[in-house]
Amino acid sequence: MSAAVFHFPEYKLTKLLRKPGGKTVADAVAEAQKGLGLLAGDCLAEVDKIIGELDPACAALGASPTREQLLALYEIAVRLVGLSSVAGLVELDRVAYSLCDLVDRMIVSERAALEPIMVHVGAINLLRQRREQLSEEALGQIAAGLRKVRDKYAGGDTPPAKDIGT
Amino acid sequence: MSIDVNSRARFNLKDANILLLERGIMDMEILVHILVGIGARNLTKCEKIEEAKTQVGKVNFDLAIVNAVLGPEDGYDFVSSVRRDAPEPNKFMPIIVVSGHTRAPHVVKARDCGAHFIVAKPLTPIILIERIFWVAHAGRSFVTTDKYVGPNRRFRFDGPPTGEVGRRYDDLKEDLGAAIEPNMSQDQIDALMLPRKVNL
Repeated sequence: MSAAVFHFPEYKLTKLLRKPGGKTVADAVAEAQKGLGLLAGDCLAEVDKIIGELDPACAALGASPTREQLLALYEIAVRLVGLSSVAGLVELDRVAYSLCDLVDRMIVSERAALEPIMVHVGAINLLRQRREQLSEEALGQIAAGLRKVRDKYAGGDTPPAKDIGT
Repeated sequence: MSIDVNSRARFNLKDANILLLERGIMDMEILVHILVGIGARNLTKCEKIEEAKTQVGKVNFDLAIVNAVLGPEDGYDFVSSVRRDAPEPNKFMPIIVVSGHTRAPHVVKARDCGAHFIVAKPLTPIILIERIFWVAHAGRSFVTTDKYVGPNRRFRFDGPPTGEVGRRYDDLKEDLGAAIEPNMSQDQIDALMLPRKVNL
């Protein structure tokens, strides 16, 4: 049981926010969105670059992925989260998050399966290349399918799971 | 705290010194575009923890926005080092951590690093405004213990979590004793609220 020492700092930020002038919330949001709009093209190019790194990282996994390989894959996938939304690919952002979750669970449980990873990476490629051709219903089905894949793996009942090599 | 995106309420970030610690060029650009859009001007951009630590030693910041994952480095460690070692007032500065995904082994680290808020990506302007307002106005005290330095996480004074023994020497026991007096009547309660004339 530790004795806690309390401080009561005054934040200068609180006073600065109240200074006269500034912007309304509506104007600030609109200007920030406009700025993000200008970045969409560059973000899309960066998303393509990251997907370009993702494919060979997956191809290198083999039947029994090592912890290092999975960590490397995670590091690539996590870069897609946030960036894809600004590029206008909101669904891809969610799939990238789901892939991070899946790979993280594999690393923690020390059991890996190639198939669910490939399904996620396939979905990422599909959403990047053919997003405009997919209906809302198809997008919903993809999201539900991936959730099922991820949750099934999380439940530990995936038969083809393999131990992570060391 | 939820803010209407069409709100006409004004706020001013023009004079705030903000430290940004982000890894990739595009992630930094996204953060900068949002902050400039919402009116911030004084931004100090760092890509490496060492660089950010040097800045924290030199400049007084009003806010820091830190990415949780900085390649092989870790944003949570940076926040912990600020809370433990930085000079005042930076030691107490509001810190928002942004995270694309939090790895399971890092959840406890994220909780205990001493950040004011952890925001999940994708980052949007309204979410950032809400969180900035929240950290600036919440009026949370700072607590220093052997294991944790940061904003008081019990800022609602709810005591230790239900069913758990408190870790602090001044935590009260969960069990309440029996009432020793009858309940107050409504008239007595109303009398407590009534304004009265006083001689000054």
